Amino acid sequence: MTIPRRPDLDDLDGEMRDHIEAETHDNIARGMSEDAARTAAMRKFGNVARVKEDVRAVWIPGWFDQLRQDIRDAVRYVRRNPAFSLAIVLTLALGIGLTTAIYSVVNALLLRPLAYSHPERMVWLSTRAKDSSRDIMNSIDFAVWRSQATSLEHMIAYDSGDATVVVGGEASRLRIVSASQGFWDVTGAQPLFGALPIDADSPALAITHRVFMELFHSDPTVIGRAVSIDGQPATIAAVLRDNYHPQLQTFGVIVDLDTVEPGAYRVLRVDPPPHVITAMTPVRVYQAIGELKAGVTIDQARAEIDAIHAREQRDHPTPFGTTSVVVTPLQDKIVGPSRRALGILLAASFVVLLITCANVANLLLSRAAERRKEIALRMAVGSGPLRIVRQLLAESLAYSVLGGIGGVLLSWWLVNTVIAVIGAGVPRLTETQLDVGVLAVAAATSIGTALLFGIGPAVALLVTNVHEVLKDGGRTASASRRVMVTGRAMVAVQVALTIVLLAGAGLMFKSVWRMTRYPAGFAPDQILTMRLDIRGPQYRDQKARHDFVAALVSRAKSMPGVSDAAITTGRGSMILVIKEGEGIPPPAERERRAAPVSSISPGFGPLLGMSLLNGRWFNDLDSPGVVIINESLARRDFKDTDPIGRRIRIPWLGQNALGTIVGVARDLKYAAIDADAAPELFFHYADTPFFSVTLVMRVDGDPIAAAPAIRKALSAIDPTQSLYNVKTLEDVLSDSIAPRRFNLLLLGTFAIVALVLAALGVHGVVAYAVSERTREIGIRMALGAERWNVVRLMVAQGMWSVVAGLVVGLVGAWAATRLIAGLLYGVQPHDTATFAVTTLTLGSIASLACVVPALRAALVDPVTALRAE
Amino acid sequence: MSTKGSRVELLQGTLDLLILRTLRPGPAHGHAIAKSIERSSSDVLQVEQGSLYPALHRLIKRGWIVAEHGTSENNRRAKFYRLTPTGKKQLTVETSKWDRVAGAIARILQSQTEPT
Repeated sequence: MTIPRRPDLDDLDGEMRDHIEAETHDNIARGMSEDAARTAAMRKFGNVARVKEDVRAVWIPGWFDQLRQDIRDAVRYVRRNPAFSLAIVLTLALGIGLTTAIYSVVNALLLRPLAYSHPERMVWLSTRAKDSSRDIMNSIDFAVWRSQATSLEHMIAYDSGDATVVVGGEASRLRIVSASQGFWDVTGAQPLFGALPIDADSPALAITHRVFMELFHSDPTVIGRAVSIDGQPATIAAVLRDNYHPQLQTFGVIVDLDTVEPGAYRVLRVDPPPHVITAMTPVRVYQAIGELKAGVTIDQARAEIDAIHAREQRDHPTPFGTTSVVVTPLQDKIVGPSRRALGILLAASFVVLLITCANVANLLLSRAAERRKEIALRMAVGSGPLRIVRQLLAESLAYSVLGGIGGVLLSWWLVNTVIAVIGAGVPRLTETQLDVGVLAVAAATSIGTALLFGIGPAVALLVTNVHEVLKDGGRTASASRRVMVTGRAMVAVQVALTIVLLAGAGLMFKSVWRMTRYPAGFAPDQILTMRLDIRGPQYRDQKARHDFVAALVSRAKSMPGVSDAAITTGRGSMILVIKEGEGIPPPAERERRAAPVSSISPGFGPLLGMSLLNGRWFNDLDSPGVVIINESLARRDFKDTDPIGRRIRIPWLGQNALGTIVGVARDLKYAAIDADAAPELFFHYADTPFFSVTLVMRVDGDPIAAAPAIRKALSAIDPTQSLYNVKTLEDVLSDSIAPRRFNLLLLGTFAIVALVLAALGVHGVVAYAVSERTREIGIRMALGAERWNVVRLMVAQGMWSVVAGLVVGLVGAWAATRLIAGLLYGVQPHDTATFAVTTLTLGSIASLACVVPALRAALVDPVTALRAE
Repeated sequence: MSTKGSRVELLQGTLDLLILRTLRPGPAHGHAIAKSIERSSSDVLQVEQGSLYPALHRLIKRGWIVAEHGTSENNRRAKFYRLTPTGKKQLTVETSKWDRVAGAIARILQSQTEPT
């Protein structure tokens, strides 16, 4: 049996023509006139177009055929109205682009698993003092945990720092991560060349692919090459693959978060726990991560480490007040802080998308008069309502596909811009890319959008009385009203959504403004900071390091343009505040007695613009054991008594060494400007062993312009020690609120886009009303209405929906801003001023958008208007 | 049309059977099939002639007839439809099915018209 083959369907026309011809012939033979014969034959044959369609339908499923037809019609429609189509496509591109960009960021930051062998089993390990949000893992605790815990497959301590790497006479600054054994396993490291170093005692480096390309020009003979790191010899043992980017949480010097990409890795040595722990036992501060054993839950691991830690604290109390154990999923630790903000940004981008849809729906409606006639015609010749809705949706789809393509391009540009502007401040942001998943979301968004903005106008157009439209030339009162009502509802929706976004952005803006308004006397833009790590055998002695730093400070002070110079170690450590006569508090109490401490040179406070409440600053003649505390610490630990002259322990001066409080400084947020002031202490730098310091200088004029000369002069004191991270304090502070500025930038962009779209929407609806009612306006004027009255009528019509939108939107904003309370600083979520300003802004812009097209109504010439119909 | 009352609308699906029956003697083109159906039913069965073509294509798709080019009686190129062997078999099946149904309907109608 042969497989039935579809005959050539193009024959059909000829065949039907022959058929009708033959029938006509027969009729003539029966005695009819030629015209009558042809008419009778055609009547007998029926609807030729229908027959054709039915025959096609036998072979080709109807929907497919019609879809092709719909797409062809849609493309034709899009091309026939280029300006109109461009407006729609650009609007859509904006909405889809913003949503896609935000989604790709969310995807990079929250959804993609971390780049580890078993990302779901990775945990962050640390300890935390109760009133602190800062995690600190010290080497003793880590060693104890690692020697006792059984619930973890690997426990890795790591540490990162910047070092000067000299390759063939050329020096560059690299972030070097030192990680203990097991790191290669948990991060799934594979060498491209060489072998990954495992011995902590050999000075072997594994360099990243980027460093391999940039510093070694992709020379594969690099393995075994000798380099110097901060003056120490080292060798290149391996080159890592270019996809090796394990996410590490690292801490910066002054600012908490620091996301410089590591350039090289080496092995960190972790000593077994010491048998006796005294205040003089050397302690290092690490970051630590662990990989849970398969089948072990994080709760089991936490319980085990809790028990180990409690036992250790009971048996070996130390003067360093670390208490509670932190075991959290690594993913949460790295992206946790951004999660809420990103959720809100994603929601905001969807709001913009909705506004876009409403706007496009409005644009489509503005074409209603013209379309209505066309649709009535289609229905008159037999198109079903479903067929027409489908055709209108196909048009929407054509627009949204074009808009989607534009959107993807826009989001690509947007993501790159955002990364360039703000990338380093937000963890994992630089990993953002447009991958298949993101593109799929963009496609889905486009299609969803098409349905959303297409269905309203389609239905509004469809409920059309064919008879009425064809008779009246497309201007029937009822259909017109329906279109207008839909349009006005869309405007109200747009205004309501816009006010929510504006209020949110306004609050964020006020937060950032609050943060960057510095107290009098604090001028971070005039302060230059640079970091110094003191390395090398000549500085093994603490005295040598002090002399070196003192020489630096006095050299800096003598430089032209530098009015003052000082040093600080930064707030690297926490200590327990123990007053004279008190014993070390039991673990339960330690949490509320800890405070961060920094060691400073005498000029530090005055240089920064910190003022004293009481007492004095340090001076160069101070004998060992002087302390300055801040206002918050005085309030917390000394309540109503005068702290001056009281004595507290200084752990690194000796077992029970005491220091005398000589001054109380006013709180100054010089390090973390988005947190409330917290208790803090200052020790004299002469009392403290240190290896890294930050040099701060008050500079007249532009600090960055003066920086190279200063750096050069200071380097001359000892060229083997490098000064790096040269920044103004303002930049340091500004980096510290990078995530907030990122949020503000995005939310602000959304709000402005929403505002523009809403204004366009209002304008469009009023303009449409004016054009629809030209004849009515003409009649009114002919009957004696003032132009002013006509304008008022038109404005009132637009303003009704604006006011309705404002009312609904304010209620929505009132509810929504509560969700962002956690992202605000120094401003209440229901800040009256912000709400008033946003309402006023939107209200006045919307009014303007009403008035402009309404003025055109006043220009209507009654005679022309009445003749036009 | 004055004759409308005496004509019967074609039942759905019966047209297929009529076409198969018409083609049994030999191939025919579209107009000839329509004429033949009208003539042999003494103009009682009224086909909207256009509906013949979708039906023809349905039959081609099922493999019961094939279309081939030929020359019509007045020497013009035309498309001829010819019964396939499968189509012949199908005609027998369809005819007996039709007879059974028609017989059954007739019996029901008779029993209704003769009250017991």
